[in-house]
Amino acid sequence: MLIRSFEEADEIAGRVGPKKVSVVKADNREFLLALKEAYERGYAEPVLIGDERKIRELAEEISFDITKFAVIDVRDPQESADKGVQLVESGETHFILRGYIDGPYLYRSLIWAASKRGFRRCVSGVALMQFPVLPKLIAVTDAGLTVAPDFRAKMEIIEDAVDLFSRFGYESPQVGLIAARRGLNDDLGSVSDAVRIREAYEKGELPGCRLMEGLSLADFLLGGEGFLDRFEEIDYSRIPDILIAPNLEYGNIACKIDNIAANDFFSGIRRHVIIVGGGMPAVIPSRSDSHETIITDIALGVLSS
Amino acid sequence: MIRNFRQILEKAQEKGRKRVAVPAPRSRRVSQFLAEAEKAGLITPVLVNGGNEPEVLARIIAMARNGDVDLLFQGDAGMRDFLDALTVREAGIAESDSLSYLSLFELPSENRLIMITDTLIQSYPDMKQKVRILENAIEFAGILGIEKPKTAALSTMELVNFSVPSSVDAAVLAKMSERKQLKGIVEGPLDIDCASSRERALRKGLESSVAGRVDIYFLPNIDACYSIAEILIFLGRSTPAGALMGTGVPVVLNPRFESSYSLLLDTALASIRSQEIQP
Repeated sequence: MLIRSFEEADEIAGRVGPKKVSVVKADNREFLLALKEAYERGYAEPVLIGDERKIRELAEEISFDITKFAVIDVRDPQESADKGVQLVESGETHFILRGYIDGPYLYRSLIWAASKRGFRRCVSGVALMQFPVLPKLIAVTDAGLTVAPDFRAKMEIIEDAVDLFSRFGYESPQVGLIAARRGLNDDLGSVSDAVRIREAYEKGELPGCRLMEGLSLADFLLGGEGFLDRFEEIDYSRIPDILIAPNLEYGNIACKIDNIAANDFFSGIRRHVIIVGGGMPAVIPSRSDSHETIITDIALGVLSS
Repeated sequence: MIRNFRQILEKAQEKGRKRVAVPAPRSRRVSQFLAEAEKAGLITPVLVNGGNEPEVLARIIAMARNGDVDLLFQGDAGMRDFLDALTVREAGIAESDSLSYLSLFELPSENRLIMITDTLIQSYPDMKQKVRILENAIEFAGILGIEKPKTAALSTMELVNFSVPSSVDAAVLAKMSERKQLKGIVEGPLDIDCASSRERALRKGLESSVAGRVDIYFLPNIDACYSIAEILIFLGRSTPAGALMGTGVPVVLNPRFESSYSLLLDTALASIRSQEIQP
């Protein structure tokens, strides 16, 4: 049950489900449409958190029978996020779907949940991306939650992404550290972090993954010394499954890279982000996403919980 | 205004051949490229050998300083050695703080070029270096015929956040532009969402004159800029053209993420630029 594409995720979620999902602020039509279809496909049964009156009105409009689901009437965004997290902690639901609420409320609740467990500092965003040119899904993490990830934080970010991929059926996902080592010998923090991470890996501190040689796409795709010649000659299967961002800016821009040239070299790219490290997965569609896109987010939530 | 790579090559060909000093090639990549560039009417290569690498580099730099050649090409020399040779005081070609690299990409659907910088040289530039990088980029845009380039000083969000230093620096650059301390129009901080779409910027309540029409994407550090350029190139399969700025004589580098076609474009750009900086 290896998930190598979003299409496969959609297909397999129906066999794995139904799971229960906390929907944090469900009072939105596109989200309810997605939940209706996800329920019909056997992915997930929602617990709907938000403005109860509005949720019931919208559900009726789209003929979504929600009588068998719990509806929790909470208007305050922070309280809704907290409630959604509590439900997963108490075992009533399996994962979180961020609905019509600003990200930081949910991240705060997840960080609190993580800190209660005592040993973790990092909640990170794993951006799963499908590029037309690649034969498989890749992940970029952290996609922009941890402000200045140091060695320790990066170790947690790797562990959490590897854990996610193991849920997706990867026995030993390949991890690639990214840094701008380019033969100029400047003392980059990203490079020294990478050296420490490799030492830790060699001592067995990062079980369940394969840390790839190299620090850049050129290293991974062309080998340590190679120069780009023709794109047709590149073996794209050599790209690692998981790319570890050297810093906040890279993570943030890399996961939205298609914005730069959406109509030219990045048409057809697909992306879904899963928040990990809070002890539970949270899928976070963006507000402008259509219900079809949100259904895939729900499928990924099912598969990662 | 130059809007695509074909126009870059045409304009350089109009300028005629340039004499290019290069350490005698050791690789097939470099020797093939030199042959191609010569065949394309862009250059007359001047191969320099004899002695060890530092001696060869010192000689080609002296040739450029004396006006015996028009351009320099890194060829098979190591990046560090080559840049060191360029920036030693006696070379008189460049100061290491003034150097920056630009990568250009074609957007065929919009019939224009975009630039991102600094993709190769400065690592974690301080404010002064950021200003230099921007000035270099704005000067370069002028060579392409873009009079008032629209620049996005990127960070991770469109608001100033004291925990994210790149957002604070971007705000300072934008203020400097507003006060005409920088040419062109620099706005920041912008996240990539707002920078690349006027619609998304408006949705976030941002009236920005650069959103959706950015000529220069300024990224705050090398880990972001070099590595993002790699994504554009390798995962977008987009060919870059590159330019080293901040040198008294146009210089062509040989980065790993550029194909020999990119090197041809780099050489054409250097050739166009050599007209601008002739005494």
